[in-house]
Amino acid sequence: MMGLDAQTAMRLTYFIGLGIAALGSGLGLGRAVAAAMEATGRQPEASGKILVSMIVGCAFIEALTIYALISVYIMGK
Amino acid sequence: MPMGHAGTESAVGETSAVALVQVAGGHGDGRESERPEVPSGLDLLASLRVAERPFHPFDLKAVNPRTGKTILVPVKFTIAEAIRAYQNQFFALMLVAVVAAVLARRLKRISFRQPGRFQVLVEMFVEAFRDLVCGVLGEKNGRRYLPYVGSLFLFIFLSNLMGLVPFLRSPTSVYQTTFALGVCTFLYVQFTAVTRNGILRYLYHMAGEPKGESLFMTLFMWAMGICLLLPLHLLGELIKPISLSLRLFGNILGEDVLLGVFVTFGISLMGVFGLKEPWPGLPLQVPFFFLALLTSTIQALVFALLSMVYLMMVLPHDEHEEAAHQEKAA
Repeated sequence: MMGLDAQTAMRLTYFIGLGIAALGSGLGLGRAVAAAMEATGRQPEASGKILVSMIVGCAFIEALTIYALISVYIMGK
Repeated sequence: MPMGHAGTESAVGETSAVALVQVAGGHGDGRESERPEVPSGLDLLASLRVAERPFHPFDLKAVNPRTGKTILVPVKFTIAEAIRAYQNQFFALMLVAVVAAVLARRLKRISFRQPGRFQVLVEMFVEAFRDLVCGVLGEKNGRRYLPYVGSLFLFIFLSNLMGLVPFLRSPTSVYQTTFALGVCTFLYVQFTAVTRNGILRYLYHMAGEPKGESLFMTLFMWAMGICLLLPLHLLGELIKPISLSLRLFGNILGEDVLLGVFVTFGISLMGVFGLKEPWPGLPLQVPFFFLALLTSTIQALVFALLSMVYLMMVLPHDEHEEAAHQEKAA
């Protein structure tokens, strides 16, 4: 039976790592959007400003998952 | 329009549409990339003549029989292949040239009392951005750094949107362009920090502002600052352009690859109906155009906003508090 060589193990681990990165970003974005929803519920007049801040915050959180994706692109060629 | 521009290619040789989408994400030579992208106009032009070799101006290595040394021999190439190898820079240049030409021509006469429609549009954009920048940087600094941040936003926004237009490709979908933009911001921020604060204050800030009560404490904190905090701050400063550029590059390339994958899927799905090569594929990528619009705008805004925030952090802080007091009073 053939064991895992280094190349295969690396590729397998990339997918698992990417899944964990997506999980982290899902949790973080969930918290951010939940906070934005709550703030909009308290003061619906400010919903425009809250929306813009939420979008910007989501872009930062999303960037961390994008870094993981980029590393897969670079290594996987 | 979005349906046909990948499927209606009939090249000399056996280039099928799906293969074209695969190769277009490649490097301009025979190497296929695992990132399918929708081919741009230059890819289509260059593929009319199938390139057997990678594009380099000097390709063949020949051995000089007299001296025995290898020399590089220039090879023949077509203009289409040459421009295709540098297509992202070409598109960036074309974007800047077209925008500059349009603005210069339409804004020849700026009228104060009866502005035309184009002038009002441009003024709307400039005013909105000025409010954003001056809200963060303060009045005086905001007016000074507004040109850079506004141009950055406009360039990145239009470059990102170019990926959706049929025969164009975003220049920001390669790491070269976004790295250049990140380096521009990094250099400008560091230059501002050094010239506005002075080089000694800059190094003092990098070492963590060591200041102690007694001489021994000051020396100790200086030692700590130079050994521990200085490398950390340097690393933090160096990581800023990398994170900026990687965020933009990853988002825009991801959007282009998403569109490419769905174009491929749409083309190959026509095989279910038995319709092959010259038929355009199903337009499965159309819903993702809206996602791409959203992502393009947000990433341009985030890049410009972050550049602004980095500038704010290195500018002298008392002016910033003055702006906050003015806002409270108003």
